[in-house]
Amino acid sequence: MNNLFAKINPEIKKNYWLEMTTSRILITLVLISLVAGILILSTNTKNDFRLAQNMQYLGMGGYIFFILLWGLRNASNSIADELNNRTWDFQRMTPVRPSTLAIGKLFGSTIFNWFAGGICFVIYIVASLFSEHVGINLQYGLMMLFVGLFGHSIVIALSLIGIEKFRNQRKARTGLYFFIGLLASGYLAFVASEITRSKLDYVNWFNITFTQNTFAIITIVFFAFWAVFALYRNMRKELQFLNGPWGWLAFVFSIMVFVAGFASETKEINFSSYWIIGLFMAFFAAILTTYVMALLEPKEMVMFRQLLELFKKKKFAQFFNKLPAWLLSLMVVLLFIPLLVIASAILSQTIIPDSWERYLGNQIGVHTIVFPITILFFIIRDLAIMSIVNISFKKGRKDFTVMVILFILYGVLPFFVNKITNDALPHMFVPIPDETMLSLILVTPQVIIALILLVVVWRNNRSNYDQTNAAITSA
Amino acid sequence: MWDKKQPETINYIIEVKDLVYEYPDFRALHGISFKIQEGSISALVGPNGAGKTTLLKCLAALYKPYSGSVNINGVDVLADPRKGHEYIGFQSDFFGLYYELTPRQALQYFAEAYNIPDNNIDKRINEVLYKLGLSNKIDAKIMTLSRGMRQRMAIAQAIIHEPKVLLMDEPASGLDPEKRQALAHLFKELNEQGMTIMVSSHILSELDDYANHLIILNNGNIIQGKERDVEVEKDLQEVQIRLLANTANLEEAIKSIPFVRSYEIKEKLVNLKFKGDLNDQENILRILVSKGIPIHAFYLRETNLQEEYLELINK
Repeated sequence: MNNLFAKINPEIKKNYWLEMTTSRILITLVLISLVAGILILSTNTKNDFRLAQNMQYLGMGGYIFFILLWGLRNASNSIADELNNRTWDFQRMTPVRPSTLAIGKLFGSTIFNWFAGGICFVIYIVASLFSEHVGINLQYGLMMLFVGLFGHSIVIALSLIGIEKFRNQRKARTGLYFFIGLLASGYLAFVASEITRSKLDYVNWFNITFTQNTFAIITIVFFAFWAVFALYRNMRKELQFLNGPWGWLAFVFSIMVFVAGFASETKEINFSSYWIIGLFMAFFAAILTTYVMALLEPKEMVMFRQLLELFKKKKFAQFFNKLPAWLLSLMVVLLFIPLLVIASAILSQTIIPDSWERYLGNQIGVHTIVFPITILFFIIRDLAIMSIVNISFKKGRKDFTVMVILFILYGVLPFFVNKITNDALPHMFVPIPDETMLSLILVTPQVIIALILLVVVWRNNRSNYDQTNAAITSA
Repeated sequence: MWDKKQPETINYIIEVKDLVYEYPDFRALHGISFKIQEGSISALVGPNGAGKTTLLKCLAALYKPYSGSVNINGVDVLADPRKGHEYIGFQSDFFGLYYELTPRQALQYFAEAYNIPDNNIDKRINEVLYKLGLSNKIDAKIMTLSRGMRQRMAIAQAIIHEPKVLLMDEPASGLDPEKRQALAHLFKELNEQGMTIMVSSHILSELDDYANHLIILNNGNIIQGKERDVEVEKDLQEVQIRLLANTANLEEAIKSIPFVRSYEIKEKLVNLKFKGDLNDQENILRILVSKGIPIHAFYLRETNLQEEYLELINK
């Protein structure tokens, strides 16, 4: 057995030893065979496609259970288990390559799931070959294969992002990452399923027409690629390689381009509004990456101080290497604003299609130029709130607290304000593009207050920090 | 302080300079610097929260410090941690074992991760397990091993790649005196084979036998880092002398005693180390009295690491 495995990834081999016990393999094979046998015996063989359809249900149902539910759980625990068992540092001490460990974690921690899910997948593919719509069923199978890969990669990548938070805790918990992975891959699986069931339709992306199925496969492969890339990059970081900012920036730009392509899907669009809507879609995508990463990544005082110090010493290469992804995304947002302002100035008076009116107003004007700046003010306010919570809270659920605050600011307050008051107040809580520019006027004091609070919290924290150190030193 | 020992060319395998490590709430290491001689066994001691684990993890390039440098075997481990890991073995304060695996499987995993050539892996596993007295457990599940065996298994994982420097965080914690003794023997053996070892521990009596370098850490600062020659110190005796009054010829009188190796004078108190027996002890007293030194009390003092530590901590 050792000779057989001599050249296999050591992480996969270790997991094979840990997970693939004889009893487990036998029980799985017996269970799948039993269910398949029952289905075969109970199916009316007069209907040519009925048996194939039932076997497809078994195959895909089993695949979803083993890969998307159980597999996601195992993948989300793969790093946390190593941390909790204190074996992670042993692994980090080895000169194992990040790609080896990333692939090892991806397919090793879920080796049993891929074994059982793989059997189910083969059943699905074989059954699909005898089904009524062979092509579309095989395409669906391909999509689900990449959804599984995407889900596992994204939860391990998220665990690696969150590892800084666990490092000094007694027990690492990854329930949130499992939940995010489940939501994301569940959504992609739902899209794949809907597309397969609906009649053939077309997608217009950058004025290129794709069939829905082709576009869905490309999209899922695109996201699976970035998820695997994220896993690899985060593994590199954890194994103390310097990543630099380019990987993240490439991802942000690709997402911006991907999203902007859907501008051509807008009804009654003309050339000018196509451009402006595409740019705003890319802008919103960059904002989304800022918020997501700001919620996921650590925002500790030590990191901010190190960044400030590097910046003051003009060590810009190190500064950019250490910049967290959310600050890189924020820089993209900042750099994109002049482009939006110029584009809005050039294309002023352009009529906006109805579906975009609530986001950009009915035509491009001064308010469209001000709108990105208004959004930027909201982002700065929110990031200041996140930083305040992270710096001032010693322990506890900092990110959860931030999410609650954001939910109150963007959900609860606007809801009640809409119910009880006039048209002006909603501008205070969400960026609304209209001639009054009330959103910008009302968010400005909020930004000032948030920044003042951030400075106060920063100074207090620094002072407490110095006092603690002085007390420790004099003790 | 005067010492007759002549300085030699010293080869330092660990060099730490101005190391600062910060947690969000406090600074754990306050710009510490020290050097460790190649082939030594260093005891890293200090109260809870002194920064011992943080320091060891920085040395192992597992933690990125705020500032400072760590050089191990000529490698700047903070700039090139992966290269540093080739020379470092680290065992954390928890064993960190795969309990469902056998020692053979666990060591094979680490041997492959450390890129040990395939044709050498079995030989290396057998060597390490033999050295650690685990050969007869090679195919038993780790979960079935006793605590002492698990401890040795963790060391086996840390030394499978034959590191030049072995860092150990509280390795004897939870072991009974017999197993601690066995662990001490193991450290000496590994050290004799050329491994430089750094051990953090609370149990100072056990370090006394083998640690020849002492680093005392308190509140993230080094109180003292100094060489201890265990073999020489074992042969040395220390007497403490209390004087009625200081005299000008005290130092001259001490230096005239040929078998005195070192001494320290603090006002009316003299600590004096010498190599010899009871007759030599009597000779010291006789010579000092004959030189007119006003001795009030003269007694043999037995010092060990624990006393040294408490003395320094209390300072």
